[in-house]
Amino acid sequence: MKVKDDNIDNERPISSAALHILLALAESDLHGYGIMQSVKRQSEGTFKLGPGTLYANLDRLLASGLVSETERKLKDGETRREYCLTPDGERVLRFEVRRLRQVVNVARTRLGKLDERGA
Amino acid sequence: MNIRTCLLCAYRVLLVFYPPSFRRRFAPEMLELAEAAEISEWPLIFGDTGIGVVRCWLEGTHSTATLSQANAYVPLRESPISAAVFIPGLVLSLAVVGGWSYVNYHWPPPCPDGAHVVIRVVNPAQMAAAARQRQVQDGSSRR
Repeated sequence: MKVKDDNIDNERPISSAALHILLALAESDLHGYGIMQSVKRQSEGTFKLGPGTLYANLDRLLASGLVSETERKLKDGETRREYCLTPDGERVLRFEVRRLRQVVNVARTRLGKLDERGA
Repeated sequence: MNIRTCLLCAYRVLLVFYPPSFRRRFAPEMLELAEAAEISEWPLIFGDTGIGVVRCWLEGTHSTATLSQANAYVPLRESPISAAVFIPGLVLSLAVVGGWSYVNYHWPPPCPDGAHVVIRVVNPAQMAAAARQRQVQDGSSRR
């Protein structure tokens, strides 16, 4: 995760919960419950995000500037806080996906070799 | 009062254990989220929030809610807390700490007739030897 106000490009792998949250926000701006539902949908129910994990991660993502918040007015006059992906957040998400793709490529090659040996 | 209301009350109590800045910032949303959840999701909500509370205290919160509030983290001389409020508070804190220490020091109360309970770990061979010695002493004292 990139630290705010740090000029050095020091992106580190982010947690799977943070990755799922950033992925959910890449689709649209969402409120807390929306993020939870989106994560459940995008992981096909395999990753269940509870409120403790969700808001602890949002706290960190907000502090590091990867996510920002906006207030949307609802029809009944109430306001609802929504979270959105920042340009920094998008960059970190792309970096993480590229890193994971590299891991998958290596895993595919090595598991392929194991399959050949087993055959 | 149905089960949902009971669960929400218990969840509200659980949220109290979060650090104040985090609680002020996220607790209303977390409560809304819990209200929207189905009964089957409650074990996840309770378990995850319980672990979240501990992690939040251990890892610290990044929430800026406290910083953005007026009079947060200001030196004492600039704070709105006056000496008239601060001194009774200090005295009360000292009284509570002192009282607690006194109770801990004198608890449990001493056994009757001044005897003290001493718990020692003794191996069986030592215990048997001590019993034999006691028997010999009793025998000699009877004679």
